Amino acid sequence: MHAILDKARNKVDQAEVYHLQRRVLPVKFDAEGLSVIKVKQTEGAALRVIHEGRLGYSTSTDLAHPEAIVESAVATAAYGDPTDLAFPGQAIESVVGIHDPETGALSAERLVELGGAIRERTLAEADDIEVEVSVQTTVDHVRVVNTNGLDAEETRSSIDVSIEATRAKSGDIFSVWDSREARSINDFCVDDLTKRVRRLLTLGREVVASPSGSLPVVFTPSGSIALLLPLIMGLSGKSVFLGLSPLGGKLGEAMFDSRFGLVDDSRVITGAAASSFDDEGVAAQRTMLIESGQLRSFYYDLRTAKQADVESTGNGYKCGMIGGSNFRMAPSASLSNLMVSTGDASEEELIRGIKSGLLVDGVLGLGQGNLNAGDFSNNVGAAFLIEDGKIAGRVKNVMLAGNSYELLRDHLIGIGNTAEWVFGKLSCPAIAVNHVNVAAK
Amino acid sequence: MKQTIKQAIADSSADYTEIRIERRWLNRVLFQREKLETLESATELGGVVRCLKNGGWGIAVFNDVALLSNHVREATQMAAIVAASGTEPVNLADVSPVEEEVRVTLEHDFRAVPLQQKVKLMQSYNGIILGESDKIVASQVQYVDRFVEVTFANSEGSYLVQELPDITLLLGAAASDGKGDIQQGMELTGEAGGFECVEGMEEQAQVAARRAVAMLDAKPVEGGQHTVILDPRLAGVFIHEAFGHFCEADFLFKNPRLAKIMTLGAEFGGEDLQVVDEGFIAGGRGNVPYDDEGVRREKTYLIKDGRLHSLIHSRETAAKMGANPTGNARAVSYEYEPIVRMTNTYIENGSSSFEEMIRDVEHGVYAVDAYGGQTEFEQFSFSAAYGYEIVNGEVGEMVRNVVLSGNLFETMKSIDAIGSDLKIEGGPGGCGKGGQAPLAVTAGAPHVRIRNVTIGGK
Repeated sequence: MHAILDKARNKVDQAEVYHLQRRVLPVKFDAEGLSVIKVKQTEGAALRVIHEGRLGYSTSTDLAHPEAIVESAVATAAYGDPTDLAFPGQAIESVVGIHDPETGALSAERLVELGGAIRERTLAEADDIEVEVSVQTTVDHVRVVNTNGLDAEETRSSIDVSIEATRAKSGDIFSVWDSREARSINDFCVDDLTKRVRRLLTLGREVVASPSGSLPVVFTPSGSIALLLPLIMGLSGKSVFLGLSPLGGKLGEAMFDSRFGLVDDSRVITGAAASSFDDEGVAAQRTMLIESGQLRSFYYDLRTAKQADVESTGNGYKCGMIGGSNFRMAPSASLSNLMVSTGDASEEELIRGIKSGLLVDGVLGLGQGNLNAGDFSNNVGAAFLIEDGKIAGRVKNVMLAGNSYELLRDHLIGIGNTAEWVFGKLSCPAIAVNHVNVAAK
Repeated sequence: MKQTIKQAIADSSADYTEIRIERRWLNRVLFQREKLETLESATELGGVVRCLKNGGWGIAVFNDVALLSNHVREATQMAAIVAASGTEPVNLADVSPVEEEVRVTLEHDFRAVPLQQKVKLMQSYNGIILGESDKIVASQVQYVDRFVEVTFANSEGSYLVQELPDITLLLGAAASDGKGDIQQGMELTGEAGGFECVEGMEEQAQVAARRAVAMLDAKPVEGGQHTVILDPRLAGVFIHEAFGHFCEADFLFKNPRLAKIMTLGAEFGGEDLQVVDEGFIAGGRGNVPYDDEGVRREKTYLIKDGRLHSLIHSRETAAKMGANPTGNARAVSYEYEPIVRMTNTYIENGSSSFEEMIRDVEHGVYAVDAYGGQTEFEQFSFSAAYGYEIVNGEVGEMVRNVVLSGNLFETMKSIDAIGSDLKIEGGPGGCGKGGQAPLAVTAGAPHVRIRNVTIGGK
């Protein structure tokens, strides 16, 4: 990496190299059994330069030719966005436990064994389902160096499992899906991994008619993403800068129900985004976004922090809003491990308190609706009717709509007392809100 | 490189070995509002090895192309583990080995255009959008060019080198009435072509901005059952998303219920309905002279005279179904193995003029362009970018919130007029499947009239 940095140093004012070596070992089972094993070893680098006050950027996997990478980045800097940011130079203190060497070194045979066991356990639940399972380990070696003296380096390991079970009957297909990610294989147990899929399969056996109207809805940890997505956008320093966030200028104000809290913390090693530093080499930190309903902070990468005249919150990641990172994308403001504060009721208690409403575990077409304004509008994926405090069956062809800001401010019923990691980097309990627009077709 | 590849294949102990090496060059310019948000340039070199051993698949992906033989060995080891698990062995349909170099000549090669010229041109489009009206509050102008050189070789003796150019442009505008209503307008283009394809788009930039402003005054469409005329772009998206994916043989293996419906010869529409997937059309973003299994492109009739005529296949699905490979095994990049994908998918011309189609519609909707949508098996819902009322046989006022939904099979049978103005248009982005996105494809159609389509308001 220093070859690229050294070549760049003489040509530009500041330079930063991000280097990623990644080994991924995915093992896939389809409905018939083990279908493919893939070994993926990739390596790439991104060079960001600031020259005469302008940003330039290039990426390459062809690391044998550092001069070509430098040349491209310098060429883009000639017309790049004007900026006055400075790459960080502070030394990084390592967060312990981000690399589990045992997990990183697991053999394909061992993953096949785990995947097979998960598949068998799920299939044993019902005789009318097809199950697909994938298990994969990832080992990332990340290094960020810059001309301001930073040299941060880290190895991160993870293992993730995804399960999809489908029950097809004439005229009805019910598909349930779960995915879990852990730092170490020792954090996984087959019974636990398959629990949610097995529960949903049982709950969803019968299809019932859904009521329509303004109804209470319990979002499970994975269903809650529909509710949280507008906030994930609205809390971004970029949305605030662009004037698109309804939270802009509201720091310190009570914007949500006092039971609602939201923290971003890349140091929590059980979250998939755990790291000692972000992709711009800023130290990992805990950022209180919403505390007891009050807006405390937005999240920033170096560029948006500069625009807002604040410090980066260590949220400069080379990935989209949700989804995995890679060396190709330029860093932008993005959350690390997002955690919703737990409340005091169990999911069962939240359900028990509802006379007529829905339990929503997943939605289709995430991201539809005017998210900037807080509006979501989704068809339900796995969703269930709650009648007199009990699950009465599965509902389908139901549209949900609401405004996250209003629901979490004025219509919060309660928050579950146990949080689960979903989508790898969101830790969330069940969230119950009233007055969601439910339209059954 | 050729020698290294041939040697690695010769040394392989697998029953079938294929190697694909890609060199990729990419440039991206993105303006948002007044700001040049992104300007980047990337080069990649990487490869993938796929091996069959005792009927099991093993794959290795890498950037280090020097160690080819190691990657072949690793893929073979993985294949052996899969085979040992007792999974049903994979067979590949026979194809003839080919040795060919497919080089392209671009009219105005974007690789020779200085970055500055690309930035300046996008900046000028961005300026046109922002300057069109004081109601315009945001703009987005995104330019991407990509050039890929693919080398493919397999243990059956094929050795191919092909060049795949791709260039796309998005011109987007957002307008606000100052009271919280924000509407957008968008114009897109994309081709397997040269820089000329994104030049001279001043008028389109203006059109995008004007449409965003006009949409502020458009009324929400009246919900209910309507006779709808789809413009070529929306009809193309419909035929790709709602129907095309069902013709992918691997999808049908996973969905036995739909496989029963998708039997060859089954009637899906009127005699004048022809649906095609074609691996090479002039400038088509979905062009693949050879697919990623080295199979030569085809023109495949998915529907001929209203009846299901063929599915699209990889060598594996073709062997499983006793069909011929159709040149549709595609991978989004060297990081992935090929799976069954569409290329350029379109409805062929019928015989009606737009005039004839609209003149006996007393009350209906002319739905234009697609802003995405979703399908869940045969249920679909698509959002048109915008639309117009049709009143007494004429295009009337602009409407918005045009969401079409329904059952695919019923909707296809309700197509009662097909225009003679086929347009296959490209645009940025592409198709997603099995975690591989965005794959460059195009879709198109002539204007199409459909009876009794459910239109939801907001």
